[in-house]
Amino acid sequence: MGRQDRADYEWVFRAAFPRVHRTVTLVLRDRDRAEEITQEAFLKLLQNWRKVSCYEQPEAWVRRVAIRMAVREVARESSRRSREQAARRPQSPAEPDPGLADALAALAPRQRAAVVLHYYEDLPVLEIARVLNVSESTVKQHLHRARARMARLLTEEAGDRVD
Amino acid sequence: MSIDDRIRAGLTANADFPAPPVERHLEVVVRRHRRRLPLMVSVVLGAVAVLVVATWLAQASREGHPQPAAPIPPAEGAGTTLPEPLNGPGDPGLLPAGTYRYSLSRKEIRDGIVTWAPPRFAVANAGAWTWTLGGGRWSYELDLHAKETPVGFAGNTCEGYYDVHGSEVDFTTVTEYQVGDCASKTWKATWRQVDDGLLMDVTTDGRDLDFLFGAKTWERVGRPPSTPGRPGA
Repeated sequence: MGRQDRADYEWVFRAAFPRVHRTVTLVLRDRDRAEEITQEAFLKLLQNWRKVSCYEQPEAWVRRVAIRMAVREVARESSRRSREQAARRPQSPAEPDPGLADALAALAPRQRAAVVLHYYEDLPVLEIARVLNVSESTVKQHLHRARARMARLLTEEAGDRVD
Repeated sequence: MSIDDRIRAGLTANADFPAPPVERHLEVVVRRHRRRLPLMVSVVLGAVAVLVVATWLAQASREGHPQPAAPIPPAEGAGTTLPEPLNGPGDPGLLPAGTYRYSLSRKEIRDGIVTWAPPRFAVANAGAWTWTLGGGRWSYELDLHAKETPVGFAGNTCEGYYDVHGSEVDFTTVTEYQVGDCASKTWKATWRQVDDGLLMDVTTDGRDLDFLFGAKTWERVGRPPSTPGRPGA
């Protein structure tokens, strides 16, 4: 890798790492694990730099890799314990909106990712479909179901607070 | 608050809150990231170094004497001293005020500066450039070919002042972006009028601006508005 390639890679790393890390943190609800996964994704970016550096948006490539890894990680976690347990795990003191984080954590892995990409990253459905490697209609279905479930959970949470 | 707004606000709050001071933390991450890479990078660099040395030695022995080192490109700004920044519009001189346009494709930029610029530099700069000059103020708007500006690059509009003395122009950029620069802080160029517009030649700045600014004839497309941009206003 030449000096210019390294400088170019470092540029993308510095510019895109914080954003990708935040997105993955939202999906995983685990800041440290999210950092490891984001680093793994950037390592893959480096290994494929010759090809990916020619793309218009290398950061979109690394985000896609990181999100797919995060989804797999959530699925692995979910197989170890039920999602309800995951949703009830102790809240991180760093979460200013734990109710929202709990509701998100109660979703299926791809639904979580779809919600984060749609509401936080503001990506269009087509792009979310590419990231998750599913069809557009599947993304719409994920978003529809996730939205309904989160609405229910957040309403219950609001009710609990009133009680 | 609708459920959509509720989700959006909650995600934004949760995403932004846990981030430690980004730059400081990023330094830690970069260092850790680097520690994981040295073997791979050093192997690649070592292989490249061996290849370069072997090629050089082979060529030198073939011709019986060492080859002179390749000329080192001049450092940025080495040609002429950078002009002092202008605090307001300078003398417009005889430089014809007006609106000028030229287009640069990614291929043209890659072919012109590929040896040193990152690949996304071409993506971030390919498009139709519209410059407006008049009354000592300049501005440009870049209609980008790409759908969006690549991360790490400045936006697509820029403004500043200029000061003409003879065939030379001093430029100062006023617009600032949080990320990247839309032009150098100051630079100097010579100008020449041609049939359909202007020819510019940067005499101070790095090769990027020299190419983006001076590779093509600036085709005149109109007279300037009465106030061509108000930098700093």
